[in-house]
Amino acid sequence: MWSYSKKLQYPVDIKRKDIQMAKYIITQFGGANGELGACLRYLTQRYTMPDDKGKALLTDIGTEEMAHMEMISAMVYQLLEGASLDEIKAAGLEAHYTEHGVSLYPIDANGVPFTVTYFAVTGDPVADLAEDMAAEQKARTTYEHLMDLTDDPDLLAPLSYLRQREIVHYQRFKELYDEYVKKYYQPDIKRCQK
Amino acid sequence: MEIFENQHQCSCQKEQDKQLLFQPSEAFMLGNLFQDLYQSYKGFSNYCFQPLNARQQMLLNVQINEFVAHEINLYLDNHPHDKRMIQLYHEYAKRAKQAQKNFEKQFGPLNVSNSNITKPFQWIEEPWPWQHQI
Repeated sequence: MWSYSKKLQYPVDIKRKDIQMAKYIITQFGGANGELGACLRYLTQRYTMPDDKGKALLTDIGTEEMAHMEMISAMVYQLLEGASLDEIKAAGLEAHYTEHGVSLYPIDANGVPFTVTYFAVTGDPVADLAEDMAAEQKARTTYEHLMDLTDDPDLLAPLSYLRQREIVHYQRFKELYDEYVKKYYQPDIKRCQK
Repeated sequence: MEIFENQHQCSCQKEQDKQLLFQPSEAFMLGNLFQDLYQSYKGFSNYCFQPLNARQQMLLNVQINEFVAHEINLYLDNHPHDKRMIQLYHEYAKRAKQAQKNFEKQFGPLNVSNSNITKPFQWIEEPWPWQHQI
């Protein structure tokens, strides 16, 4: 099970309303490379990891992704706070307003709703970890694109932080990926002893 | 804190087990505890937090120590025999617990089970994490 802690993993305190950026950043909630997909991907793949390391790593990173989803949601919420109808129209968010008001809904930057087809679960730990590594790199790139689109330091700080987390997660997945390839697919190779 | 500075003097660990670590507040600011994993984007660097009040300061203290413990947790998932990092994990987990206790004493529960026996139920009180509570 999980227990909730009433705080963010990293502070989010955005003072400048920016409806346009909310429209873009929401993709890290409900987009293909977003945190909701990441969290579901790892927490679903973990059941068929072959050893304790894999079960632990996917549980722990999957759990952290929930906290990232919460950060992204807080960013979108704060960016939209106090938005007028004229501002919503100017940002092209009338369709979102029609369906959801100024509430959160997992969609990408084009308004396409979240789908579980954004991730795969193959039951093969090497295939799953290869996907996880790619997912972290794609999320890193998305954060960089978002950083390119703003100069608000209140946005850049959490975006930069989340981008850096993708780099650390990638490294952890890669370590395990390399270990599993050696363990399960090349166990008969004689390695040079140092 | 010596352990953060003097990695190269430690001869008890195998070469690949040595990890050069950022100081806790810097690691938290950057989002990365491990110096060799850090990659900046177009030279952008985060700024150090300047807490505006006691609440922010005390919450930050929880967040920083939890972050360091969590980073070591992920590392230990893959390297469960690294004695030095196991010790460091427990050190920061303990600091995080203490920091949380200090925060909750003044500003209310972070976990529902730490609510005071008061009416109305203390847990429901604002601010919630998305309400600019930092």
